[in-house]
Formats: sequence, C-alpha cells, structure tokens
Amino acid sequence: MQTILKKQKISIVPIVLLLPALTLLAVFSIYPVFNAFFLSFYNKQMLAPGKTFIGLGNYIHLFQDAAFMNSLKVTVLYVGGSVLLQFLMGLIIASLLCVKDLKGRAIFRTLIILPYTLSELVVSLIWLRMLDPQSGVINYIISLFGAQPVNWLFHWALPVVILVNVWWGTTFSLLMFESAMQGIPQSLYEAAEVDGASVFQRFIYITLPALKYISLLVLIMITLYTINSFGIIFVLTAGGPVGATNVIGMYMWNNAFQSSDLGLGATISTIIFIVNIVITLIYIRGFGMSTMERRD
Amino acid sequence: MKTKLTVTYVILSVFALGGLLPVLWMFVMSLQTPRALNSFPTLNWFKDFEFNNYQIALNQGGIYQGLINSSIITGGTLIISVTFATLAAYALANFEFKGKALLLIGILMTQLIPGMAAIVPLFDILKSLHLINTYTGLILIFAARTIPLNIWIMHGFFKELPAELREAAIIDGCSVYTTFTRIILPLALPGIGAACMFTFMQTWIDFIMPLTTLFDQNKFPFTVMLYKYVGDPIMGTNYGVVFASAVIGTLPTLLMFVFFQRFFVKGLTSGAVKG
Amino acid sequence: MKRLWLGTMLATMFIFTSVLSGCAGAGSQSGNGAKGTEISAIVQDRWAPYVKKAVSIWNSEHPKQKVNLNMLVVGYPQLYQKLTTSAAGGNTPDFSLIDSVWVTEFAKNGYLQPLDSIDPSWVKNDYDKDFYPALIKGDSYQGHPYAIHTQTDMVLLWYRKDWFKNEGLQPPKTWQDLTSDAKYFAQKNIEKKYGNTQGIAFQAGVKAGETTTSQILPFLWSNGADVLKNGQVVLNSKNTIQSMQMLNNLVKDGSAPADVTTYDWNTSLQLFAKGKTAISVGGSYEKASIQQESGWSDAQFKQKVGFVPVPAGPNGKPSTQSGGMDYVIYKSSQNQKLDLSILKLITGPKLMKDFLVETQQNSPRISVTKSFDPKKQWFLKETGNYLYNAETRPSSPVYSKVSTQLQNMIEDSVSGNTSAGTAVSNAASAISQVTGLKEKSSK
Repeated sequence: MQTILKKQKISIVPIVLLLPALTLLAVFSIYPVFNAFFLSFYNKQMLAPGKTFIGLGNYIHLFQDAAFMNSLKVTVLYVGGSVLLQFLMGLIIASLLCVKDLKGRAIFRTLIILPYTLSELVVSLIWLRMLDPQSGVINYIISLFGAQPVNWLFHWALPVVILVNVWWGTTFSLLMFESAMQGIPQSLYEAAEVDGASVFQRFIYITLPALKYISLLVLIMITLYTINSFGIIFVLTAGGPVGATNVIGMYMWNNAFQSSDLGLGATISTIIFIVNIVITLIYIRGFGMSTMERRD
Repeated sequence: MKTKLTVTYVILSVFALGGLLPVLWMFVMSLQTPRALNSFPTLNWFKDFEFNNYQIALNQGGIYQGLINSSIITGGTLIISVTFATLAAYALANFEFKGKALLLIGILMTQLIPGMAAIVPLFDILKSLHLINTYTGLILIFAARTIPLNIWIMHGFFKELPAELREAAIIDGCSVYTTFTRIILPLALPGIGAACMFTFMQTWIDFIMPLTTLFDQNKFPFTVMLYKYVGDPIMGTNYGVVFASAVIGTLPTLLMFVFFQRFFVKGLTSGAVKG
Repeated sequence: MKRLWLGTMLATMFIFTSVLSGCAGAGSQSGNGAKGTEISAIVQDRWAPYVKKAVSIWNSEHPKQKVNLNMLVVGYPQLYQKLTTSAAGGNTPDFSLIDSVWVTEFAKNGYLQPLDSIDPSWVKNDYDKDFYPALIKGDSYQGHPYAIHTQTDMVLLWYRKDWFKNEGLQPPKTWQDLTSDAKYFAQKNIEKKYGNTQGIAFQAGVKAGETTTSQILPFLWSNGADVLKNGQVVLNSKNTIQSMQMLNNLVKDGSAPADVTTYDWNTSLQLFAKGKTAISVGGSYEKASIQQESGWSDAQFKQKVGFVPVPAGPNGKPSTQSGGMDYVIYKSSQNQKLDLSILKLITGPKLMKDFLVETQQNSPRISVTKSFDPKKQWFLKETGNYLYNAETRPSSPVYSKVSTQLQNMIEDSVSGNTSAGTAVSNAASAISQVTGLKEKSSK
C-alpha cells in the first residue's frame, strides 16, 4: 500500500484538486488578513480619502485604553464559558442520541437543533423580548412562583448572554460529535460489552479516542466563532452594563466600525488574529500534531 | 438497562423542550400587535391573533423575492463550497506531501479575523473583479468563508475510510477519477451532508455581505428584508412583523435540515468499515 | 442506492439554482426596458412611498424627462453602514436619506454636493426662507447648505398632566422642580395611588446609543454647558459636572432605578405609556409610539400627557435639541438638477405635510407648521414653537466618536462606576483626542 501512495506523490493530481479551494481562500480570506495587518499601522478613516502612517499609534492607543483591557478580560470569560458549555453539552447530547434502541431520535435531534435554524439576530430578539423586565415571559413565569421581576440584562448580563449563545450554538458541536460517533464501528462496543466494560468505561476508552480529530475541529471552530462574533451581545446589551459584556468584537464595533475608523478596526482585528493563532496552536499542541494525519 | 433508557429519554426531553419552547414563543409573538407585545401579560395574548403580521411580511416586505434571492445565493455557495472542499480534502487525505499538516492548519487560520474587518477589502476585491452587485461575487465570498470548515469535515471523513478500498480499486484498474466518484464519494456522503448543512445555515442567515455589496433592491436576500423592520426610528421595531418574517424565512432552513438529516442516519460509515 | 442519493441531491441543487437564476435574470431585464433617466436612491421603509409618489408626480408632469427610480430600502440601523461603505467604495447613489448628524462627516470628505451650487435661487427663495434657521445651520458646512430635512423632532420632557393636576403640582420649569417632582412621584404611597414604579425615566447608557446622546445634550445646554465651541472642546466644566450630578441624584434619590443605564432607546417611552413613570425624558417623535403602546386616543393623550422642554439648570435656561432625517445629493451624481427636482417635490409643502401628518412628526418648514390644523395637529403646532430656540448636536466630521464618548460619560457617571467629575474629564480628553481639537477647561 505504501508503494502505491508513494507512486502518486509526484502526481499533479493533488495540486489540481487543491487549487480551486486555495485560490478562493487566497483571494477572499487571506488578502483581507494582510490588508488588516497593513492598515493597522495607518490612521485611515472610512470616508476620508487618504491615510497617514502612524507606526504603532493604533496599538499604543488601544493598550492605553482601560475599556480595551476590560474587553480582553470579558472576552476570556465569555469565550471560556461559551466554549466549555457548548463542547460539553454537545458531547453529552450526542452520546445520548447515540444510545442504542432510542426511539424518536430524529424528533429529539430536530427539536434540540431548532435554535440553530434561526439567525443570530432573530435569536437575540426572541431572548430580548423574553427577558424584558416589564413584559417578558420569563419574569411572568417567575412571578407565578411569587418572585419579584428581575432585570436580567442588568444583574446577570454576562451569564445570560453566555446562555443565549450556548442555546443557539450548541448545535454545531452536537452535530459534529454525533456524526463522528456514527462512524465508530458498533462491533467495538459489542466486544467491550462482552469483556464487561461499563457504559462509562466504553465512553472513555472507545468513544473519546475516536472523537479526537472532531474534538479538535469543534474546539477551534467554536472558539474562533465566539471570539469573532458579537451579534447576540450587540442586540441584548450592546456591551453594557458598564462594560460587563463588552467583548472584543463589541469593542471593535463601537470604537472602530460604528465610527468608521478603519485603521483602528484593522488593529483590533490583527490583535484578535494573533490571539486566535495562539489559541489554535495551544489546542493543536494539546491534541498532538498527529491528530490531523491518517490514522492507519 | 430499562432505567438507563428512561433517564436518556428524560434528559433528551428536557433539552428538546429547551430548544422548542423559545421558538414556539417566537411563533406566538409573531401573531401579536406591538401593543400586545409590550403589555404582556395584561392583554389576553391567545384571544386576538394578529395574522396581519404575516400579510405585511409577505406583501410589503418583498419576502418572496427575498427567499428566491437567498436560494440562489445559498444554492450557488453550496455547490462551489462543497465541491471545492471535497476535492481539496480528498487530496489532503489521500496523497502524501510535505507540509500537509501545516496546510490544514493554515486553511483554518484563514478564518481568524472577524468578518466585520473584511468588509472593506472584500468590497475592493469585488470591485476590481467587476463583481459588485452580482450574486457571483457574494457566492465566491461565502464559498471562501465556508470552505475551511468543509475541508476539515471532509478530510475527517476521508481519512477514516480504509486505504484498502482505494488500493483495491486501483488494482482493479479504476482511474483516480472513477475511484473517487464510484467508491470514495458515496461512502463520504454523511460528511457531504454535514458540510452542506453547515454551509447552508451559515450562508442563509448572513446579511452584512449582501447589504454591503448589493445595490439593487430586487437582489436582496430575505435577511436584508427582515432587518428593514428592526429599529424603525419612529415607531420602534415591529416585533410581530419581524418574527413573522423570521418564521417564514426559517421554514426553508428547517426543511433543508430535515432533508440533510438523512445523511446522519446510522450505518452509512460503519457499513463501509465492515464491508 | 447511495449513489442515487448523491445524484439526486446534486441534480436538485443544479436545477434549483439554474431555474431560479433564470427567473431573476428575466426579472431584471424587464426593468431596463423603460425609457428615462435612471436615478438611484437609498432610503428607509417609512420614507419610500413618498419617494415613489414624488417620482410619479414628476413623470406625469414631465413626460419627456421621465425618471426611472432604482430605490434601495434599508433599515435605520443599516443605513449608516450602507452609505459609508458605498461612499468608500465609490458607489454612492444619486441621493439618499441621511441622519442630520452625519451630514458634516459626508460633506467634509467631499461626498456631497452643496445645494446652492445646483439651484441657488431655490435655496435663496424657498430653502433659506421656509426652513427653521436652527435646522439650516445644522445642515450646513462651511457656509453651504448640503441637506434638506424631511421631518424634525425635539427632545422633550413628558409628564402625566392628570397626575400633576391631581397632586396640585406645576409642570417642571427648573431642575429643582424636576428633582422634587420626580422624588414626589417615587414615594411609596404615591406609587400605590397611581400604580407607577418610578418617578422619572431617562436613557443613560450605551445601549440606547444615539438616543442617549441626543437626550443628554439638552441637560448640558440647560445649564450653560456645551461640548464643542469655537473650535475647542469645552466639555470639562463645572456646569457639565453639575448636570451629571443632577442626573446621578435622580438615581441616588430613588426617583429612577439604577438600571436606567441598560435602557434601550425606547424603554422610557414604554414605561411612560404603561403608566410606570410620572416623567419621561423623550422626544416629540415618540407621540405616535406612546399612543400605540398605551392605546390612548388623541383626546385622551391631550388630557393625560403634558410636555415641556428640558428645564433650566442653575446656570442656564430651558433647552431642547432637534434632529431628524435629511435628504442629500451626492457629488458623483450625473443628474444633480433632476435629483433636486425630485427632492423639491418630496420635501415640498404638500408631500411633506402628508408624510408628517401620517407619522406625527414635526415640520422642518415654518409654513407647514403654520398650516397644521390647530384641532387635529395641535401637538405638532404647539411643539413647532420650540424649534425657534432648539439647538443641534455638535457638528463634527467625527461626530459618531464624540457621541460614543458622551454615552460613556453618562453611563460611567450614573452607574457610579466613576465620579461625575472623572467621567466628564475622561470624556473631554477622549473627545479632544478624536477630534484633534484643544481642550479648554473653564474652571
């Protein structure tokens, strides 16, 4: 087998296969990254015709801004909480959906996934209405139990936006895990059962190792996605109260794009880019480079 | 064994209700007048339903045209993204070359800057390619955005397929092309299903790129139509109409999901391993 | 079987897309068939029907000079982004709707055509004579008018006339009145009587965005404070700090809840419409909304609701702020004369009045305010008088950055995150940095 693969090593086939995808990525994804890096050294306003080189001016401005440092802290909490919950819940629900003899699997899956069929905006608006202190259904329900109305987005802003994000986003890890679990040969489990392994042991020794590649992918994707997006926070709290939910994406929107300051926006993007690279590399190191190679 | 299954049912039901109830609530809200929405629970919500919201959404909002436009954009993206990603993933999973792992990481790295930051450079690129105000431009942008994840999904599936399959096919005299289409591709269907689904969902709900690059009302996807009702400076957001439009816009996603869900059905991949 | 699935899927997708793109192609072709000059515009939903009306009036009056309208309709939250990206990418429309506070930024960077260069006699004989001077000032940059108001509105204090009357209270004229009235209605026994939960409601945070800025500014002006003056940042003054402290005290006294910093732009009006607050800082544009939320008829509204400008502080006089949406013509337009002709129709007395009556918005034209029916449009007529003394938001090419700082200032101060003095001096130095203007401390 090795010989056959080696023979094709010099073949032009892989290049031809990779070329369309890589071309698209180079033009539409990699160029904007370099563009942002380049612009981060300039004072460039969206509407002003020219741009002036200011060296590290944008970076210095950012690191002197207390609100930016606060946003870094909030981002760690928001992303950490969201990723942990999405990862664990996705894993748990997926394993439950893979339980043998489960009836109504498709119905359960469809209902659990329902939130993901909505856009971020609609999800945020639904929760904005439900959490409304005066006319929200959640305060109505707790009032039935005699509780006083709560302004959730004032007293519990960060936990609430994390929960809404998890409610919407868990689908991704759930589907990834479930489809990967489908691929684990049933015979492995049967053999383990014969050997007397408990459900828990089977999960640890058979399921988890088989999910290594998918776990890495899921972790990277949900981390990046959570860092890069701020739609839910934008609608629910706009970063408040007093910066409690001001994640870096929200900070960027308020300070750069709402004010059309492209240079500053590019600088924040570049910082996010670097943070993302570091996180990705940590994940990959944790899982081991070999996770990405052929198993056989 | 029985109790274990019961526990499973209970936990799953809790999660299912958690997913369902807020969405059901959205449906209820889509049938309310602005006043009823803000007076909850003093007005009787379940007495007078405001079906007018759906009429407004369908007639004035141009949602029909929007849905058609969304379908064109999403359909085009699906085809390009999934095809390109499948080809690339096949190359990455089945051919040995230097720096493969690095290339895989690099592909993911292209998703490392926030979408907002890319708007202006993307506008410039489309302009220089004369693709402003075209579906093609949008489709290429969305394809580039979804290809990395799709490559990773497909790569995961291809590398789980036993090499013996390919080896056997080549020995049988199949060309690279026929090995791919006749043997590998059908086995990777669950992966293709997953890739299609994620691509669909990401593309269908996006609104920033179409808003920025399109300059013709008749080309706007439904998401831009929906946003039109959010934050009216005079009367405030008409949530009833927004939610009604959202319900209409969600139906295709739901149908797509039910359709692609077939590919998750157990046995497709495990059957391959056994065979 | 499996291959069949794949085949069906790909074929379905292919047919799906090709059929749909075929449809769309046919649709756009038929649009190009009509003769006439194509004019492109970006507007909002509520304004769109009037643009269409104006074009059809134009076309019926000028059959030889027909206009073919290509109109983009976007929501207010997307308008700024659509306009800036279009401008930066060199794709501006012929004309568009624009928030009056953005005019300076677009004009300074050379995207707009001054109106007096297109039709000087119209500017001299109609525009300059009929529009309120405060609005013309706000729409001008370096002495040239760039924008035409479609409607206007002003910041007001809504109060429950019926409750005030019942308790023998007069409408607030000074900050002292305001503080004591708000406190009065926040008393337990009074709240029990009227069912309200707070004395006063106002937007005090970043969440409400531009609404916060526009409603806080009159509280500075009414105490003789300002943000920018004569090319200097004059924000950091005793008077500004006094204003912030007055608002802080409303929360400290328990007249307003601490979560005013999380209010959305229309939370105050909703609380007011539901009878949860006796006083609400709002705008004249909220009347239609308040009626919709409360279900009050015009007569009921008149009987229950009173309004005054923002009361005078110890160092100033009552004040209000006016803004609104404008039309502008872009420099890149090939048909500026034609654009202006259409805009003259839309913002002419007739169509403008129809629009204002429908949306219950104030008139930017003096003649239209005068023509309002004193019985049916009493509100627009009465509030119209405030427009002579209204001020407009600071004119700056980086207005949105200035506005963000003002929102931070009020949120930090009211939440107790920093003292009023620190919040003001932080905002002043940040504004000086983004505008490049020197800071002047008038202590």
